[in-house]
Amino acid sequence: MGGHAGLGLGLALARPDKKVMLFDSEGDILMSLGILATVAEQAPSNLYHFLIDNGVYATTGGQPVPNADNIQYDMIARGCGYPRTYAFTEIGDFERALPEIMGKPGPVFTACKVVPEIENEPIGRRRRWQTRSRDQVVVDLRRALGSDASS
Amino acid sequence: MNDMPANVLSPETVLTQIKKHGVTHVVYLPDSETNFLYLLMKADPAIRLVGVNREGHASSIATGLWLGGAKPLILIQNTGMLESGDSIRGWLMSLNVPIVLMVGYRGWTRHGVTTDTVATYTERFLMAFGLNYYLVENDADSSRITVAFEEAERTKRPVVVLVGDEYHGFNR
Repeated sequence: MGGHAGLGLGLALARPDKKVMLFDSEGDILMSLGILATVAEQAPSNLYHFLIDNGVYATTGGQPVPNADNIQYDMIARGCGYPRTYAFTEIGDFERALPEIMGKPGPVFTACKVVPEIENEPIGRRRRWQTRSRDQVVVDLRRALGSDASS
Repeated sequence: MNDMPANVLSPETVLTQIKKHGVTHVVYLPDSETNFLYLLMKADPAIRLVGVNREGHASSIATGLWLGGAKPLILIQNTGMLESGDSIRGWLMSLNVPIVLMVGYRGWTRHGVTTDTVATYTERFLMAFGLNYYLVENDADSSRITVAFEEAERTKRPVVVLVGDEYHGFNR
């Protein structure tokens, strides 16, 4: 944890010909707030940074993220230099704004407050949604992007 | 022409090595040793500098760059390398990223009396993580940088270059 935004930034910088949509979490971004300054400085116009904020650490049983209800992530992103930021608590407002969000150059930061879904089961008893191994995901992604040919 | 004494590592030598191996992005956090290298890289249009605010960020950014087909180099100090431990593990090692980390060896005394604890733990850290590394102290050692790049590509693993030249040629 703490590296989603970095991964998205790296991908966006490596592939300026692609739009990169990053789905981040508040737990992850709080671990590395400084990365927002790096993203803003690099200013990748193809990066669309969405924060899905459920206010809890869902995978560990739903414990609250510190001060979850009082943090304004869009303001933090704006303060770090993101040129466009949004924040939504209602799905309808988000849906209406989406064409504007995606229709203009990034980097853009969009914070979405959502209701948490918590699966409070030990890891060994949880539903597995993954269909591929991590290594296979990396291989497939690089192949899809043509990265193997370029490096 | 390089007017530096033979027992130092010049930033020009390092830049030559970086470019020889096709590095496209240098993900870095400044330290006391790398200012002159930074100035050279900043002036070079072939290299894009990505400055981070905490060394652990470099691992995820470099991974993203590599996934997208770029060739990143990480440039940090040993203090930051220790700080980055889990990021190095989770991103670079777990995803088999073939990358060179150029790490300033603050406190290196050539096996003399070491008073800086970061130097005490630098190689122990690398050994504990199973990260192979090469020590570069002067221009004559620069071929080890090539070895590191080639090994990273061959093994699909991160490889470290320890720069043991604090306050000499590397920093003029």
